[in-house]
Amino acid sequence: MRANLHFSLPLDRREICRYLSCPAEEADRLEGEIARAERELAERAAARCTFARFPLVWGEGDALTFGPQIPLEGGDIRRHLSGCSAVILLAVTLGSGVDELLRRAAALDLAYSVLLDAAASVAAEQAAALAERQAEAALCRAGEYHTGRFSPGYGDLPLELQRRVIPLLDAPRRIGLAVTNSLILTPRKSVTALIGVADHPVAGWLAGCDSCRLREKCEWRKRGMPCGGEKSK
Amino acid sequence: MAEKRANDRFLILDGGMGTMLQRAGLGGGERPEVLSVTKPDKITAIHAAYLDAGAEVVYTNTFGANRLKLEGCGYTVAQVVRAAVENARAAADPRGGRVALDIGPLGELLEPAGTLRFEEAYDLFAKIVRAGAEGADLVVIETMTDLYEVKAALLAAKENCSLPVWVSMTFEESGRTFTGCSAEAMAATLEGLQADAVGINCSLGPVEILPIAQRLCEATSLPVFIKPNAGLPDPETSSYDITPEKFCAQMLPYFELGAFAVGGCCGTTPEYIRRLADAAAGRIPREREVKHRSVVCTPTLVQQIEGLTVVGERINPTGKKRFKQALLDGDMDYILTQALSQQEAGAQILDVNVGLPGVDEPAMMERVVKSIQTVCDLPLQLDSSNPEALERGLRVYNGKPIVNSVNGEQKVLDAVLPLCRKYGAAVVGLTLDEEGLPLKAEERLAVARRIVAACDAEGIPREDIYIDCLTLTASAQQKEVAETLRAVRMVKETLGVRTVLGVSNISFGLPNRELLNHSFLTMAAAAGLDLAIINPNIPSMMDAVRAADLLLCRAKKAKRYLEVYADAARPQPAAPAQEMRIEDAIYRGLKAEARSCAQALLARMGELALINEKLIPALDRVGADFETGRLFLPQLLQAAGAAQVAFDVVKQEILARGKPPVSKGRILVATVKGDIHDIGKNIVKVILENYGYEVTDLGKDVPPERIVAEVEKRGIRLVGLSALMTTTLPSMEETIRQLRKTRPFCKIFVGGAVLTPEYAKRIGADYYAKDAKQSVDIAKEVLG
Repeated sequence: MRANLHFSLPLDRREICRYLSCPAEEADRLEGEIARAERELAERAAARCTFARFPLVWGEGDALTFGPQIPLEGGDIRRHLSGCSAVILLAVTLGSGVDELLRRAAALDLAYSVLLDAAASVAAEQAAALAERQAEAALCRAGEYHTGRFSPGYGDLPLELQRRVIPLLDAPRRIGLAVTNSLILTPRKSVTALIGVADHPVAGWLAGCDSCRLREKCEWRKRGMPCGGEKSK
Repeated sequence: MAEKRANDRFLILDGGMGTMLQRAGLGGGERPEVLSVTKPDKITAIHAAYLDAGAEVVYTNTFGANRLKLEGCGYTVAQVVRAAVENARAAADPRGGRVALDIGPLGELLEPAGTLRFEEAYDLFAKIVRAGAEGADLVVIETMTDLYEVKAALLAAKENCSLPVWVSMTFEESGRTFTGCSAEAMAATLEGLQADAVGINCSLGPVEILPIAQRLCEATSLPVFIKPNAGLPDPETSSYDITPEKFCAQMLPYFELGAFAVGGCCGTTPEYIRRLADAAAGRIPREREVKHRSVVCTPTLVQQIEGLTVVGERINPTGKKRFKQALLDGDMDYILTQALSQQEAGAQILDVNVGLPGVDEPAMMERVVKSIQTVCDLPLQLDSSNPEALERGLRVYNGKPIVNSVNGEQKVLDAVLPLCRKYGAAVVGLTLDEEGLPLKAEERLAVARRIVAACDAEGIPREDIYIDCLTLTASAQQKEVAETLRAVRMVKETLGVRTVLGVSNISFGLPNRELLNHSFLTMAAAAGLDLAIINPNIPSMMDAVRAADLLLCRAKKAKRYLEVYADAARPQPAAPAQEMRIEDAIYRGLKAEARSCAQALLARMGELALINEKLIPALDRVGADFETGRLFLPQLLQAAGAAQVAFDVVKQEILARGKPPVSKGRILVATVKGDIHDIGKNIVKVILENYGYEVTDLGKDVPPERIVAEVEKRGIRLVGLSALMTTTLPSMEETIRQLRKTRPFCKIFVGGAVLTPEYAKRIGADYYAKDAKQSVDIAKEVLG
């Protein structure tokens, strides 16, 4: 399944500030530029998503696979999908127009380009949240429950999974989303994620700082506002 | 083949391969192309089923048979492609069918959206063509969404076999592809590159494709073919929603459209094709009337030359010290700001001239064309007298460009016109020849006639020819100004081609040049000028362009005029900056104020003193407040931007006076190969420049070899490398290894989200920079 997403405005100011490593109160001072970023993003973004559902197979010991025997490695994803019998695989992109907008801004005005990049990241997150709801509505049956999103590269789930997820969803053909040799999603402002599905309530498990690669140097963590921390158990 | 078949009856193409594989229980795998080797009978059976249903052309099972997608499958591209061609031949030969070597997208995005280089894409496609051409009757490049990728594939096919090459692209309901390419841009570019047929396939059903197909048919004189999906996929099951009967009914309008071949894509089966063949029987493809329009384009912007069209002249080193310096330094950022500011001012096409002694013009042309098209969607006019530079630029240009320029000299025509023909470029022809520049309009017409005849002989259509009757300087040849205008009129009326003039030359050596330039522009517009090569950043020039539009009734409803002047209150020039100290202007990130303060201060103090006593202390204050949390990243960057503006004032002054540049040393920065995150690197660059260092920025995704070569060439002593991904750290390590080998005295600092001081040490870096501020401290330590 694929769908065009209606881009949702306004963008969350608090999140934009977080990406810019500044306190949320700064949003007022930046309002003019944030509004410009919103306007330009709304004009150039063509948000699209595609998703599909696959059975989850819990094997011996730590083995966990989905779809055509694609392994899910790492403790975090196992905890996240605990109790689930299926996964919804989701891919979302804002499209290549946003990348062009970002390149253009970088050539003209560094300060604005950094703010625009932060705003585009927030827009991609908001598009992913919207896609998540569409996917659940389309692919979860009555009486089923689901977890939140969990993306490759998050916690100890290997980023290499992108290379399996993208072809499996036929993402280049369906929504114009590909992955580079270095495992970067292109267009840049894109998200892939797994959502667990179960026949009983499941909460999921968002990886906290323990398994994060950036743990030792993370400025957010030092300031006591870790990115996923407040949501994790 | 397409041409011969086009007139008598419809050609029937096959339907979906993936759909049939699924039916045969072979779906679900990630690489169906391998089945050509492992289950050849099944693949041949699918082709046979389509041929028996009435298809006359079958596409080989090679949609994803490229090296990227086949990696790790256990077979080579050649093995898979040859097997697929044999499978198709086995079905086609006994049934009199034809085999199309199928080429799909590579699955990774090309630069600038992705990291795959145009040349790499070409090589990947060429491999498929070389493996499969023998045994195929034609090549079909299909389901493409990126015009640049199509160009790589089409060149690879044309240069590696002699078969006809068809191209079909995939559109969304918006009428554009994922990368924003329109049917018109596709038509203009591919007709220029001499595709043998163009079409639309996949993504949508017959109903949704129809309006896009209509546009394609109106935009091209090439044969058109259509292969829609069986409707749209069901949200839950992903199966397609229309029956063979319905599909066939929805295909009927295509018989009236002027398409020459039809078939199906995802969701269609032999039953769909059987009904389609039955419906097509006895029908004759309609002749299309194609308007021959003068068009240049990029994928997202089609510029129809209709009314006065503005060609920006600023990307040219002639008489511009700052631009020359940028070319010598390889400073792409400066060139990009020139491109974007002209676009902002109203340029519709950009002239690109990078010829300068001491600069490798072919390499620079390629680099500048690639750079501009990453940020700017205006079509380009490649301006050079060097055929090698033209070819390098033409090859990597994405869309349909103009070449400036040929003239009436036979050897120039012989060298350049074949390039224009091969790459589908429009041509500017100057009315001068071996004898020099004729003064009389009749003589200029005679030269133009020769150029047009040479274009005719080469197969370049009239609508792609732009004759430049040459603006002579009024101060030296006052009488010939009228001859130029007369020649413009005669060339247009007699030869049916478009005209172009470089306007600014008219006023050379005279006072109040601006007045003469826009007055002459208005006169030339009245004489019928199509392309005006001007400086769009001068408001009076654009005023003259818009007024001519309206007065000559040449633009639809004088839209451009009304858009700009309808609100009578035009934006006033910015109020003079308030009295302010430069330190405060920088601290508060006020660019205009920083500029005027710097200008005022330069009158009183030297460049070095301004930098050391004013700019750097201001930046230090910003840096200190940032470190203590009184300022945040957005303010830090705004301050850096204001300081950058003040610095530009200093640089301009130095260049204008021919003084040696103020530099504390040169630093190279780059994001390593494979990585395309460049925000951190950009911040470091600007802050280092703020502190008086010259920075060579090689951009992102930079191979180690290029970094080493640049360090050697410029004798650079400090290099900053950035990587944001764990997957690109090995590239960083490799770059350091190569630098150490050839430039052991060069110091290296590294930064990026996933790096730590320990890791930096382990991979051999001299310094780890946690932020831009630290990179300045490192620069001070190494370079002083």
